[in-house]
Amino acid sequence: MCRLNLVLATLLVMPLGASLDGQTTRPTESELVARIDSLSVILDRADSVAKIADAVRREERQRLLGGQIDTLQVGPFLVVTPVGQGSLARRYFERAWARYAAFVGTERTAIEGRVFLYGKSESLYGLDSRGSIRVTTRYLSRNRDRAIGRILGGVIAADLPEDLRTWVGDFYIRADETRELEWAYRSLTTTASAAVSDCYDGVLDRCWDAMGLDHQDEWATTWYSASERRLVVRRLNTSDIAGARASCLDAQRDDACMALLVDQDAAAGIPLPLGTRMTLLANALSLGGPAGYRRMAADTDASIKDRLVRISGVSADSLISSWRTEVFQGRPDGRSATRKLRWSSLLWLLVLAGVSTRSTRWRLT
Amino acid sequence: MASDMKRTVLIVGVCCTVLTLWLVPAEPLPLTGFRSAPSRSTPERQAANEIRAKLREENALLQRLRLVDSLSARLVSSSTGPVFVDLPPVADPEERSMLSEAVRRQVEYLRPGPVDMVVGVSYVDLRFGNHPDYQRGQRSWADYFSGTVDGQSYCLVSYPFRGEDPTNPRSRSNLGNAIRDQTSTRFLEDTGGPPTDLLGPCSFYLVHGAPGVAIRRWLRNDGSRLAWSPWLDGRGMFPPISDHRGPFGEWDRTRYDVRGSFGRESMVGEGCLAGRIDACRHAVLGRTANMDPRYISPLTHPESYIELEEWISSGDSRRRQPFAGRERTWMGDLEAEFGRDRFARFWTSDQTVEDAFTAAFGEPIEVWTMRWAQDRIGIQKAGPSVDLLSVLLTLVALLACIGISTATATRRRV
Amino acid sequence: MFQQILFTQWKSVRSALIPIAIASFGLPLLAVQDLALPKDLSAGDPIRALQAEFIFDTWQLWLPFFPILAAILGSIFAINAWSADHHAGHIYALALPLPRWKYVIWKMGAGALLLLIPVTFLSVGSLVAVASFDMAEGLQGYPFLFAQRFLMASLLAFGALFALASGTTRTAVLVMTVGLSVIFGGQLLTFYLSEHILAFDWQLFDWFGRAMVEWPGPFEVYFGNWNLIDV
Repeated sequence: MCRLNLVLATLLVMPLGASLDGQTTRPTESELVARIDSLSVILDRADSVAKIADAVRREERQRLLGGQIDTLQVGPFLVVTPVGQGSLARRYFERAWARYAAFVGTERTAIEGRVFLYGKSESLYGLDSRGSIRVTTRYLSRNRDRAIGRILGGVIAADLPEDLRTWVGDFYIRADETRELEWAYRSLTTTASAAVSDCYDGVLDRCWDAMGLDHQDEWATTWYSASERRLVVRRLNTSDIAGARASCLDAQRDDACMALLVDQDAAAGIPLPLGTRMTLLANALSLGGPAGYRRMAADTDASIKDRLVRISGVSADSLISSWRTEVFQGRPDGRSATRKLRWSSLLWLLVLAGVSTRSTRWRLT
Repeated sequence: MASDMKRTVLIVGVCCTVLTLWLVPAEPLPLTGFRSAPSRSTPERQAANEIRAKLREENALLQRLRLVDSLSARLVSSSTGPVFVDLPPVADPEERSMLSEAVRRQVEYLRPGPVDMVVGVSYVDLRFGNHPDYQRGQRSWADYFSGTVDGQSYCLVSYPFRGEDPTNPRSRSNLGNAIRDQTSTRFLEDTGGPPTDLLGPCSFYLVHGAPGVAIRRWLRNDGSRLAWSPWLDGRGMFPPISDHRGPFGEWDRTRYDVRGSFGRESMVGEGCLAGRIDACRHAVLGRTANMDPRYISPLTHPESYIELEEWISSGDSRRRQPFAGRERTWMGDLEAEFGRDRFARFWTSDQTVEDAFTAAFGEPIEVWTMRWAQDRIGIQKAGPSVDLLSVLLTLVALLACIGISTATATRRRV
Repeated sequence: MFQQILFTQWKSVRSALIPIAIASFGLPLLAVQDLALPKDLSAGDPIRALQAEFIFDTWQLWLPFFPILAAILGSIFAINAWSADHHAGHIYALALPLPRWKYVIWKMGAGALLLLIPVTFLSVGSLVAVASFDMAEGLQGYPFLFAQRFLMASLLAFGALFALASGTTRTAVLVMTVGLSVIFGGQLLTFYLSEHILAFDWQLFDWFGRAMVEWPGPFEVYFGNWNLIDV
């Protein structure tokens, strides 16, 4: 180790003679090659020594941690967590897995046999995390349910064919289906897209456009109107095309907007967001059952639209109609929020009125 | 009242003393990143990582040495005009013609004089020149070199491209896209004005010849960021900036211009915009802190290439440059303002940079830089000073309040 | 007479003055925590250049607190100046052998004098804050200019609230109601017009806001550079 440090120190002060006063000693190619050759040899040795040192440290840490961790079986995967956090971890993971298990059934998935390390990063330090997934609470959102659900969905998404994964994102099934459908409804009403507006109005074919699953070759003209195309250009990061961008946005020239969009991938311009697309996939899976999941993972040849139809086991129109009905049924109820607001306002008014009666000016007693 | 006041003063005094003892001296910066966080790696692993980093640097230097040796020899032997276009055999005729045409337009616009200089523009695989034991080395940005071969002075710009990987049958070369991106005229807002810039600092070499010793040393010591473009060509254009700070003087994060990829000015740049002459001096003559504060590690290691005498500059990283990358046209603007002849006198001078500047342009470099920066970006007021008009306005407002109060009180009846 | 007026105001505000003075002193000190350079840094260490980044990132979070504190201070002292008169129905004040305009000016003067106390504590706190850590080259502290801006802002709030509080509660409510009605009603109207008339693109809210806070608006001093540490 001392020799290594000495060699390292020597190497690190190389190159000699390098300065900015113009009097550099230019190395030759052979000198540089020789330097790199010797560094490679030293690096190999240093790496071997480092591997041993790392292994020793890992073993030591494992030994120390031996009595400090719990291993839990949740569904088809394991959760490793420090002692004392087992019940909490089990609750989070079981709740999150239950949502996926409803779709997956007993099918083998990418999550089978995986190990999740759950806890604070300091408490997980030293655990052999090769092949396992660290779920450190420091970087987890406060809504643990959602965060862990998202992680599980991310692992299961590995089963999905790449194009489907790109289209749907995380394969994230929300804890609260109501919120999921509310968000989907909101996106149907607020997304600035001709296809989405038509879908909302009941033109079922256009719902496929809104999902980005039809007319991908002419997406800019089919999915959006001229004014909406300007919004898409504004949203997309067309960083180096300053002149055309200004022409599209400021002069409102549609040909300039089209020129900017024609080079963009259709996937970048899909009107409905990932979460809403996931509701369609979830709807198809709920219609098709666990057999549908098996078909989804295995089917890679057809278009995404055809695959969704096969997963659901019903016709395209039936699938999209079923999804649309579900989303409309999930329309948010604005009144429920105001109901809570009324009660809390009344409560606070009473509290403040009570406090103000203590004023010496008009104390009641 | 006196005893009351004493009691109040005592209480406040004690509390303020406690606060002072608790909070002074101020806590140090909570540095994040691998530098400050307690390292979990073993000392042996840290040593191995340092050797690996050194190996990476040496390989990068080897890449550039091989690059300049092969390109310069080819340039000097094959060049028939002022600019030689050097593309690999895989380039197809359309790409060659695109690049040649863009170069021709630029040369035509520059109108180089009779200087003894050849310039080369090349595209080279980003893995070219790697040591066999280290094939992962990749050049990310353009490299600029200058020197002499067989008595012929040259300046080279070498753009990287990703060639086909023989070990990966699905890999594709992006040479065509790289050339198209670099030569596209879609960015130009004014087709009658300057064309797309391809030569970078080499355009100054082409027009004025080799720089003086001190000037060249300055270019190698981070001065080349002031010469990356002879003019604005639409890419990375100056966005109009009216407010440098937010409503309370904060640096406005939202002012990041995605189109031009400009961020905010560094502290040095802000100081120059605020009229600090020493900051302006440092902005052009000093080195930039070229690093990403999230990681507190240098993004590039230009010190590695200093050994290579021909090397002038690598990369176009705009982070934390004094004027957030807008200084790329500093030299071009200087020439445009003072004219070709005076600029040539500065460029080829044997004096130090400051003396050469003053001799050629009649004013100190920092003074012109301040004027240049404030003209293009704006004047920044540093510190929370309230200007005289604001003070007067406040006093007027107070007088108005007194007037209203007096009028109200005068009219009051029981 | 001025002394009596000052004493009256002092009596009613002295309890509040303690936390106010401590807050004014402590806020700059709190804001500069986690900004000092580490002790063992070499002269050329790149972290020095990053200190400004951290300062602007961290200090910025505190920036809005200072104009808010100035507004609160000004309001407290202005309302306090008239609280005794409102309580007694202005009878005692009207019975004084003193021209009313003089009475108002002395009252305002007394309030402004008391306002200087927290401002002084803020300036001392700023001085201590700036002196409590090393700054990288190129950065400097502006404690006196900072205190000057704070004084202007708090005096402005004091004057405005003093004028409002000098009338009856009914007047104050009336002024505020009319003002807010004009603003909100006007904004609704301009919004409606801009929706239905193509060439009409003017919003009262925007204009009013800019007129108030941009030069030469009265509250311009609240919006500007509040950086105690700057280039």
